[in-house]
Amino acid sequence: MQTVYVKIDRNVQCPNPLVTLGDIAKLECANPQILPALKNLKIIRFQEKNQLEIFGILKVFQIIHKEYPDYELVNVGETDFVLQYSGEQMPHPIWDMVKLVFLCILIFFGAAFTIMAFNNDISIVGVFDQLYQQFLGTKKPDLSVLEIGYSIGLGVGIIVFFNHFGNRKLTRDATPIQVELRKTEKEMDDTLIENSSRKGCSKDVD
Amino acid sequence: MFGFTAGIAVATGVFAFILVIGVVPRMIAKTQMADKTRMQETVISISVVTMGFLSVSPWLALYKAPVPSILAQGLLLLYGLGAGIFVGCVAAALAEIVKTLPIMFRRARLKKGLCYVLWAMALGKVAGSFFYFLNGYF
Repeated sequence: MQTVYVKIDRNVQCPNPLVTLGDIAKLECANPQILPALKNLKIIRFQEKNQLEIFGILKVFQIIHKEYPDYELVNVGETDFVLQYSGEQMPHPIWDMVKLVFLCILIFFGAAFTIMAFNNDISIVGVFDQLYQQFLGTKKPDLSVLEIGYSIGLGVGIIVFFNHFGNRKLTRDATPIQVELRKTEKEMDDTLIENSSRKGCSKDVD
Repeated sequence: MFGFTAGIAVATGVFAFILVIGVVPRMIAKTQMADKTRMQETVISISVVTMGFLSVSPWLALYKAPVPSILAQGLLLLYGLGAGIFVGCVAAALAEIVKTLPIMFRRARLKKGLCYVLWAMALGKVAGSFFYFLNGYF
């Protein structure tokens, strides 16, 4: 009576159309000799690129039990997971660079526009005018020490907040953007799984 | 009486905004001063009250005080820097919360080069702000 521990992540990208158990799961057993046979068990064959299937862990157990009915299976990973046929990933360094440059330009002008509109909204010049008058008694020039401090402070605030400085980070935390990216991925996976379980098209035991 | 209640309403709004955005807790966490939170709260309250009063009383001519002009310029620089850093943090926090940046990265399917985009945002804001001030405000 062998106990096999199965761990599958929530979202697995598969480069091959033929997916075996070893591709998607991590297996552990007190008797490691049975594991290679298990890893070759076929799970699914994908038809088209970027095809996405939602699987339940019970379906995987069913597939294992069909061949080896006397194994005890314990799930230490996710109960539902997303399998996606991502195809052969050919790196496109030039296209990636073009995309990056385009995105940087877009965000540069977008951020400039939002801060200009924001400054207009809060009529910051009126605030600085009055403050300058109260502190120094003369009329504020167009570019006084207030505006310089404010504009430089904007950049400092954003960089410090995002925890990036060139390629080094300022502290050891995950940067806020990384946190948001992971959160978005997790939410998308959750939604996919929930949607397909409601529609009834997930691959699971009935 | 009307002024008093109006002041209370505005103060509630300002502090609620600061709390929801989560800028101040994150700044406190980053400088690792969580045990001095009480003092930070006091500082925020004092600054909001005094500068609020100062901004609605244009007759209060502080420049008549016998302080050197350099000190006043230095204070103004500090004020500008503080305002800029705070607004920068608010803008960054909003961009995350609204998820503009994470979703753009996902769409563009970019794996590396995240930090360049953040620099683009920071530099864009600095350039836009200078441009705004230098061309006479719109």
